[in-house]
Amino acid sequence: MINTFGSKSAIVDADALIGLIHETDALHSSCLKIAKYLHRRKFLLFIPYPIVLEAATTLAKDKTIKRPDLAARLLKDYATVEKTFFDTQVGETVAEIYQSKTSKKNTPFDYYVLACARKNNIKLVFSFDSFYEKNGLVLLKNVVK
Amino acid sequence: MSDNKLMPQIVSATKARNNFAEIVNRVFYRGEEFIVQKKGKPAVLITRVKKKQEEVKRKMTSSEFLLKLATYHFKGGPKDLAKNHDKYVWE
Repeated sequence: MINTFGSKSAIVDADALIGLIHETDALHSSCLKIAKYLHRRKFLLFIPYPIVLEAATTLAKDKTIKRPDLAARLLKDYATVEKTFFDTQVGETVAEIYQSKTSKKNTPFDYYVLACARKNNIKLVFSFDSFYEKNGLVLLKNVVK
Repeated sequence: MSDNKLMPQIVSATKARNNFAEIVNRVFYRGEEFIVQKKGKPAVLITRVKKKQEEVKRKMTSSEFLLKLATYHFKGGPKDLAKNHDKYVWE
């Protein structure tokens, strides 16, 4: 376990990043509310780089969006974020928990986030995907009312 | 040791000692960073002095980063883009 900051830490998934960027998204106002809450409470946030890549890929490659300029902006801004010291060596865990027969809805990225959370003893996730809830994490939307 | 320039790599004190020359070279020439663990917890950060000085000038916290995303003012995608982003991209 690398994270030594206790319960005031949370992991961030790609839907939260996209929801914040996309102003007309159904989840935008919830995302903004949660982001302000995390900032106000000085949460230590784990935003894994593969998740940033996933969000950037959506912005750049989605056929209805095609905004590589936004993807570039996201990557540049992320590069200026101060480093947080979380353990990202979770390849073995992802391989272990990814279920080839029952994982049609969720991607390996989701299992990666779950593995990162488990490895770093993080209970809260900034995501709206019930997959995490089913796997023992708490969605921040249920904490920030 | 794996090649990862974006996130500091975590190594045990023993591994750091046995690979110290390589670590110094990778930090100095390639700008990589290493966290040395002591008793299973992060204890020491090995980083390039110049890089550290530059970082002090341009740091943004993770929560500031999230709030900055909301200033992109991007509109017009599908309403369910965030929820179904993997569906839109990969299918």
